[in-house]
Amino acid sequence: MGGGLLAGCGLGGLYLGLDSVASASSGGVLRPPGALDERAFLSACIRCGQCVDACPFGTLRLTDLTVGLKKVGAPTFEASETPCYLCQGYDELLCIEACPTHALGPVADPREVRIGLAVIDEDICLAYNGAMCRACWHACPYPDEAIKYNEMLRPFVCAEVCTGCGLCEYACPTETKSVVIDVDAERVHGGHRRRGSGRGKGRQGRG
Amino acid sequence: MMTHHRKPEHPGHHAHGPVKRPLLRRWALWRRVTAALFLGALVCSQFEWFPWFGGSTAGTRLLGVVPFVDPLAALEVALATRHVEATVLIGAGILIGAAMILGPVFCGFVCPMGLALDLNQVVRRVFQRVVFRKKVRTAMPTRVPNSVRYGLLGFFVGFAALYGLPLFQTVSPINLLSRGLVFGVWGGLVLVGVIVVVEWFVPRLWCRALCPLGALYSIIGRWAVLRVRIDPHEAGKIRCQQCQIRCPMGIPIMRTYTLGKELAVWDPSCIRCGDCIDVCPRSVLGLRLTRFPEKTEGEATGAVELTVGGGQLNGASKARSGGTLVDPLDHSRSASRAETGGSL
Repeated sequence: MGGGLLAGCGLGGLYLGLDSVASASSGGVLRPPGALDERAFLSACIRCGQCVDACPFGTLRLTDLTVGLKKVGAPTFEASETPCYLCQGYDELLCIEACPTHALGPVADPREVRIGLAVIDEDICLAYNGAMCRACWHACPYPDEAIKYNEMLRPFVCAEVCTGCGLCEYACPTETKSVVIDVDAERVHGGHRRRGSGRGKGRQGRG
Repeated sequence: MMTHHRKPEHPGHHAHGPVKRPLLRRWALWRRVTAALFLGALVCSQFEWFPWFGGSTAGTRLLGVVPFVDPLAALEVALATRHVEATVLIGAGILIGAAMILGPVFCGFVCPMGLALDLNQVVRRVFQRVVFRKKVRTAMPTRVPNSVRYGLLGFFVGFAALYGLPLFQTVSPINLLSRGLVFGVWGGLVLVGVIVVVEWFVPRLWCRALCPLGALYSIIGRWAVLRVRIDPHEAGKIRCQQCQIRCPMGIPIMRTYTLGKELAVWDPSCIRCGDCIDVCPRSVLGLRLTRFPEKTEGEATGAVELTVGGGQLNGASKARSGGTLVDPLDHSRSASRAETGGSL
């Protein structure tokens, strides 16, 4: 075992060196509700997939080999395909209940879930471009709280409330989604921010 | 025209041994059934109407209540996060407790990778027999030192402790296979496929030489009471060596009996698959609960009745080799084997 440990140190260092280079360019991946921050999450997740089995909406799936070795087998979801319904109609968040290692930490209320932050791209959002569209507002589990309308009837995201569930992204009718969930967005209190485009840029900005 | 009437020759047909256990009494059948049932339960648990085993081999939950956590996953996560969840403790504790009593039965009776490689071997044997008209293997698989498996175990455990990542859970072919089948993430099956192809040429390489989970189970089950027992009334009457040839882990099964008079297979890597029991023509072997090291040695004779034949064997082999014990089952010593075998 001693030899193995030594080899582990050497190979591990090499692997982490390579992997950190690779992950710097990869975009943020949406994690299930209650997930610890990415590093702690990947430490605690045993990739068993019980959260995937527990999800009543079929939202979650496990990542395949394409996303980098560290993330293989960990749960994720694509908001534009199936968003997280925050277990509406259930007593608790079932994926969190299913997680044996608490890689998905307990959340007192679905409102406290912070998967990411919805970010509206005002360049392509229909409501910002003269059309009448309230798709995201209708889809949002907390309308008039997480997504509000200003006096021009244009939506904006309230960063303190938004759970990042992705229902707005799922509902958005534009071909390129004009509202996307940004995992790494910094929450700025008191209103919305405009961002050029969606996922991936936030991570680079933070370094 | 003539070819239709020619009966196919089976040169090896009669050489397989006179005795073959009835199908329903073969361990090979039942362990494949249990492994397939478990895998099937994992797959079916995807659907809401079958909530038996959610998750995969890394961690499941029986009926959504009783947790099971892969001991290696639990160890890795505990080291990676420096913290042990109650669920992990219970889930791994159940399996560790079971393995302490029953040994690494997981490998033989549950592991989906074991099932896949087992069936791979069946296909290979049938293929060789039908296409190449070749008999089944006649030599023992080469033994890979256990230190390789333990070294790999050390690597993954050390990796988790140092870098905070349960790496084996991401790359383990066991998990890749079960995740692939259960959750449809097919990418991981490439590695499984590679192992299956390699094992066509080097049988049971993964289990025998590499699997860190099997190594951990071997350590946990070091003093397990469920063992392959050797019946001293039957042992040593014929020296067919079928058990050792068939053993997927390459264990020289009868060696400890002939040399150390041990009445059970004491090798930690034994996965209790029962292949040796199935091929044994004299029902020498059996999977039984065995008391802690049981020998037929002098002082231990009170506990175990010795047959006259067994006593002769002990005395004779010692006397003949003049103190240094000669392994009568060693291939390189076929002459001495014939001699010893003849005397019995």
